[in-house]
Amino acid sequence: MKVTVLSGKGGTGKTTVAVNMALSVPDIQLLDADVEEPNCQYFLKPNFNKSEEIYREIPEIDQNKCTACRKCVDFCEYNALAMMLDEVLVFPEICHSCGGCEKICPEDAITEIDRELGVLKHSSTQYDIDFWQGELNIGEESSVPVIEALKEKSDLQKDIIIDAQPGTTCPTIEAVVDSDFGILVTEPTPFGLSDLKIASQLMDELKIPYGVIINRAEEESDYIIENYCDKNNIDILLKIPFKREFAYLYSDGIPFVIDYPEWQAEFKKVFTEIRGVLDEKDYSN
Amino acid sequence: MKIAVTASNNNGYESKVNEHFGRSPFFAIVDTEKEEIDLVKNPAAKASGGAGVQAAQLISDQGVEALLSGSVGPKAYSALTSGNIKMYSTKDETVRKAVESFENNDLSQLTSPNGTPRK
Ligand code: SF4
Ligand code: SF4
Repeated sequence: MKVTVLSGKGGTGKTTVAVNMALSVPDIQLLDADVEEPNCQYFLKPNFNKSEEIYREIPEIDQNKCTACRKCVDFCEYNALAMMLDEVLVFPEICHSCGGCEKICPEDAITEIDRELGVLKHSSTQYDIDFWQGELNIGEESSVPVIEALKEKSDLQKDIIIDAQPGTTCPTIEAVVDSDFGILVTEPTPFGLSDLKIASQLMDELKIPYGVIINRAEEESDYIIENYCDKNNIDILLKIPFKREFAYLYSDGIPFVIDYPEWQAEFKKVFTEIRGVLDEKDYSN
Repeated sequence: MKIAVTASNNNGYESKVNEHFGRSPFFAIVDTEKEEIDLVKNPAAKASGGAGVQAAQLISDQGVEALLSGSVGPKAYSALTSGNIKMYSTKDETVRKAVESFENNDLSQLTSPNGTPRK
């Protein structure tokens, strides 16, 4: 079973949920697909023992062969090429590696060279977690190929939790698109609600079943999320209360289930529930 | 000498100087000797990415030797540097005032990018 944890915006507790859940279910694989800010590592303190670079291809211009015809510059939809003083400049960060300029050059002046886009790192952590983390290199703009490569590390013998990038753009979609279930993490505030609405719309469009975890839950404000979920038939899987102790542990980089093991049972229950929902769905299909 | 000034609107010398380069709606192309001005629309203003590079290409194709702008982002800076176009930062309100300041040597030349790129 593949479960992705996501949220409409950052800072809602998505990583908290992903890490604590991973620590509560036996024999789990955790993939940190928030490749621009992979934060699970701060809680899991992994000893990375394996890494793999992810490359993409960008053009290189042979200035001796180039006749400055400008065809490549006009062709590039992404403005990754410019012609300055009869010399073609390449802006690798903007290049989308479409390969078009190489094909279009009449002088064979363009070849494709590898550029490191990011890296995958693996560790079996001090906890019993098979942990992979994707990292996008600074300055690079396209996370999707790194997330694709990360997902290839999925060990289908295991249950998998994916920590997705916050938001609802391509990198988030790439992380969740082939998951069995999505956990949307939110907070009981008007902002939390509006982000939740956007995220749940996305899940509806992708036709992936999902449920909600309310982080920093407080009795007097939970209704903000509860009313919406009631009305739209969305399950609330868990409420993580607003607790000073949890906040302290968080800032010390300690997953709270370590100090409050009774919460492991809660997360495990959520996981079992999800499995139940999915089995039922299979059954009715 | 031909210079380019970022412009928020199309109103000749009275156009307002635009703070950012890549997504500036217009560029005023001013020939300081002939005292001629021409406003060109910036197709990169609405580009989804690479606006700075595309805008640099546009003004380089106009044959300008200097650019006056509030700020210039890193990619545009490197493109313009390769194109031998000098960049000056201006806080003047109108294109007319910016050109005057430039001619009086009151503007400081940029030696590094001072704008942040927008995706
Ligand atoms: S298409 Fe080829 S020959 Fe023409 S400008 Fe580009 S690199 Fe040079
Ligand atoms: S590979 Fe595609 S995106 Fe990259 S520079 Fe060439 S045409 Fe542009």
